[in-house]
Amino acid sequence: MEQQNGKSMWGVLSGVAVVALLLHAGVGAVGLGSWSAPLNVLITVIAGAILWGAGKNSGGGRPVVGGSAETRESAVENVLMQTYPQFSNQFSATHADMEQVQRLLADAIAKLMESFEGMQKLIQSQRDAALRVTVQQSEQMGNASLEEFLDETSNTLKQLVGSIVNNSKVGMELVDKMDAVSQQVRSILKVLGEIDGISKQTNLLALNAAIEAARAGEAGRGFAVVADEVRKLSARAEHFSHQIRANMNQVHEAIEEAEQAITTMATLDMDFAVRSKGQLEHTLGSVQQMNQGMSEVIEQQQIISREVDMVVGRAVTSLQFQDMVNQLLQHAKGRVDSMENAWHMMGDWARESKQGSTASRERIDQMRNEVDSLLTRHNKTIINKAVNQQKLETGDIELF
Amino acid sequence: MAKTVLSVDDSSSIRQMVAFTLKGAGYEVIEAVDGQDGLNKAKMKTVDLVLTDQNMPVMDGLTLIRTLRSMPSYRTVPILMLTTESSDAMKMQGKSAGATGWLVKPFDPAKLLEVVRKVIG
Repeated sequence: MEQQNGKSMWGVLSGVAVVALLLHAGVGAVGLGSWSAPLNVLITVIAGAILWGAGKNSGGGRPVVGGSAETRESAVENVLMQTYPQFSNQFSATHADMEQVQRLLADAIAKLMESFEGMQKLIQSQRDAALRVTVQQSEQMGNASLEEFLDETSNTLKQLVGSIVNNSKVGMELVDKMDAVSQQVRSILKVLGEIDGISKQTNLLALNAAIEAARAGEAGRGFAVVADEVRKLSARAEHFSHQIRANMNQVHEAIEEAEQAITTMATLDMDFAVRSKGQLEHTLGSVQQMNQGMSEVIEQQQIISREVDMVVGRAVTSLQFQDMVNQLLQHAKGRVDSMENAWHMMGDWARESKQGSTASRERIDQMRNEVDSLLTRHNKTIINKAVNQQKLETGDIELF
Repeated sequence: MAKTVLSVDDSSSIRQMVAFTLKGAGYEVIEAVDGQDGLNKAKMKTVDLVLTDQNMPVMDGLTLIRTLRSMPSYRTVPILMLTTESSDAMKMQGKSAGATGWLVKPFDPAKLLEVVRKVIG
């Protein structure tokens, strides 16, 4: 009976040692250095007791370390009793730390997500604004591109300037023609001078004829009448000649004025048109360059926007580590819970053992079963762990 | 009219990421914190797609799928699992329960969007 109790107790102690080592590994993983002091004391003492027990059970009958079984058991009980409150505190602290990590991660990820959402909305707004500018420009120009508009304007301008230059040439031809007309007018005026001379000679001739008719007396009376009529015709011819000269002079003046005006207009318009054409072509070139620059900027902005989308996508994928870490922490909390339960159980056993309880054998059997069960649960949870990913790579997609 | 997606996950950050991805593409997103909450919300309004996690408190994803598939209004509605679970055994259970597809976390927003568009347009 006592031997059985002894064997059972060593079984339990083996379990305790494993649990202690597990605790060591578990808390090490979450970085809680404060565990190390009580744990090292416990591991040292329990390991010594196990080594002693192993020596006893292997048939040697002699402990590896000196001292009786009762002394060893008592030492283990004492260590368990002494370290019990410290371990209990560490379990609580581990729980609190894990929960704090979960809360901090959740808060941080929520804020990061809000930031990414905000960033993507801003990029979207920027992209929409650029698109609005393009669409507005297109609508204002009747769905034609600015390039087409500039080409059309340039062609119209060329036609306009061509027309003005042509008008100028026609103007210069008109000036030549007016000059020709002016020369003709001058010729007419010269001819009119000759007509005046003829009229004067005719008048003189009529006067001489009248003198000769008077000298002839009655016989020259009829001739005198003809001479008088010739003189009157000569006077009328001279009068008409003067009228024509006056009119031709006015026409000549008008032609000269028109010639001067046409010359001024043709020269002035030509210079203005050529200058305007140069200025407008320069302006259109600048607008074309601006348009090309704007198109390049918009295109570049679209590329950047797509890249930001991809980067945000990668960030969203990476931020999911929080969900995985959270699940792993939950998993670790489950392990710590199991170990805490086992620890409380061992504390109860140590107290009962110390008080010399008669039910210690049942308690030790129960302890051994609980520790076995605990290890079985651990193995099972390791196999059934929800998160098996070792790094953050996008998961598989399968459609059934 | 925008199509509605019911996102069921106990992780608020995953719900936030799913909503961010799908809302940006013009979908309406309803969020539920566990299987039971998802079931209640699915009953209130028949959605176009259910996207659910597996490991959740109160009711897990597979139970939610089985319950939804027993309802006439959800016999043909696509249901996608979005979970860290990646074992073939779990996928088989999901397929048997009536899941339309299985997406393993972490998800790429562009790929999630691609699958959602493929399933509900």
